[in-house]
Amino acid sequence: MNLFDIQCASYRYREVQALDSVTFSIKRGERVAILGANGSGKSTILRLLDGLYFAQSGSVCFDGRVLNEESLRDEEFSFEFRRRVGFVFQNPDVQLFSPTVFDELAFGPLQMHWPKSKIIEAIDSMLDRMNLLHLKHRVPHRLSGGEKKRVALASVLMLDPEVLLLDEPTSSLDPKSQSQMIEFLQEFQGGKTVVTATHDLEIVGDIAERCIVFEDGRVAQTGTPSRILGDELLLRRTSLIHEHRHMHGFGVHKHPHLHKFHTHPHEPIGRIKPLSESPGSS
Amino acid sequence: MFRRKSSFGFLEKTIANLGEILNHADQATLTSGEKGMLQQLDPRVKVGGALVLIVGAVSTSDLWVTGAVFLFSILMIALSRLSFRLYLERTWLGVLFFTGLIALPAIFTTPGVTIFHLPLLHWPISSQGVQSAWRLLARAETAATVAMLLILTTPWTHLLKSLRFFRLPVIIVTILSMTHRYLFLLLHLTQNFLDARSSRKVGRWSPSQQRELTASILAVLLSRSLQLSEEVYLAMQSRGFTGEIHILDEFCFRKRDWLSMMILTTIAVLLIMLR
Repeated sequence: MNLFDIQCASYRYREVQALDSVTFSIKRGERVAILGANGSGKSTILRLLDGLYFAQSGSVCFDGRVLNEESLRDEEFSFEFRRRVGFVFQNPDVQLFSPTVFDELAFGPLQMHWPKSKIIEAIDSMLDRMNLLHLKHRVPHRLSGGEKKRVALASVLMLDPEVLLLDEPTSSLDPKSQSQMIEFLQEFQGGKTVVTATHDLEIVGDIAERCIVFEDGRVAQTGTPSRILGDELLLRRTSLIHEHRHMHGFGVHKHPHLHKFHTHPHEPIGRIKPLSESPGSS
Repeated sequence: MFRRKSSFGFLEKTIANLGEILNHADQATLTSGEKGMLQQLDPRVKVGGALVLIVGAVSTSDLWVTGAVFLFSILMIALSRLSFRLYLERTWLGVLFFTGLIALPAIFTTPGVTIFHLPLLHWPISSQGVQSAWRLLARAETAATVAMLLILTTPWTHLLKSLRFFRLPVIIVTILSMTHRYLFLLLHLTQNFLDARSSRKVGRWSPSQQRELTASILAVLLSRSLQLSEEVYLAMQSRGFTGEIHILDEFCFRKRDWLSMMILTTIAVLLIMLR
């Protein structure tokens, strides 16, 4: 059964058409990657899925119910929707608005009227699970980029959402934090629906079983990660890959930067002289 | 973080100074974690006590009472392991300067018994003028000392929660909390703008260029802060925020808190009787 149904959804920011008649659906428990270059509409579609923006034409349905201002004004539905869907923003600074990490994690459960003893217990458990116990009383804006992302994720996971929407979860992370995030997303299963917007093709195979490629606010293609990553023309057209120029020994050559195992002929386009051949060298 | 004062211009100096002030806020976080006497008390007792002392010190006409509150604050500074140098630099000298500017004309303009004439200008200095200037200075210094005691010994979050205990409206507490939080972000942003401009600057900036820069930074900051506030609101909404603030209150009163409250109540009664 489809959890999200998006039918001809369009959204426009003043001069920019962010989404143009987008149609796709997401099944319950599915792990989907929304791929696209900057400005392709990835973040906007996530905001529509989280009921933060509403489609100006067409519709976005969650579990059979249309997401619009009217439906989210219904307290019962809104409460249930917010409990079931969690959204991790690209910029953790906008998400970490509480004075301490502890307060940050308590924010969601407090809105859901959890009992205080349950909140305190859940915070300790979550901090332990995310290896953040040492940051419990720290001020969020003083944390490193990786720590901020983990705290932002932990604050969303506090409500144990059924759906997790992630906007560029690995952007601006150092390699270690990036691999920790990927490991976490791989472990985060058990029937949960995960929708990740990214342009980082290296992580797609690890975090998704289906890809939806966006181009200028439209769906350009959908398919499995192996099919999408194998479509070089599509990836070039949507600016997801670029010409990669590198060296083998003293030979320089270029080829498309494919994010999968590949072979290619090593036809040098240039040659760099070794130091021993330089005029001044002895 | 905010590391230098260059010769770039008044604006950069201002930002660097603001940055230093915010660094002081960070230092307050450190001092509030010390194992001093006031740091061990329940924040509600401290907020209540500070209010009593400030109101008492500024409402009395007896300078001895104001002096007694000031001496009590000095004792608390020592017992709370706070630095007197920190106080001198951040509080006493600043208050002396700004209150002094306000109080100075009163020395000459207040009618009364002339005790001295200013050389060259021959302006009369009255006894009543000196007394009123002295009273104003004493009150301001005492109130600022007590307020700083509260700030330096109480984490910001606890202070906000205590304000809620004293029935300060939720919206004001939220605004205070968010302002404190996003001031840092906007200052970082401003600092980055200035660094980017400085890196492309050749020669000295004329006053008109400085004004142009100030205006453009203000415009970008306004636009960014609007964008930021919208994003923050969306992030709050996404986690179930509907406009009502819920706080997790973990404060608990212990023996020392009751004892401190009794002492402060006694002081309050004494202040009222002395008035």
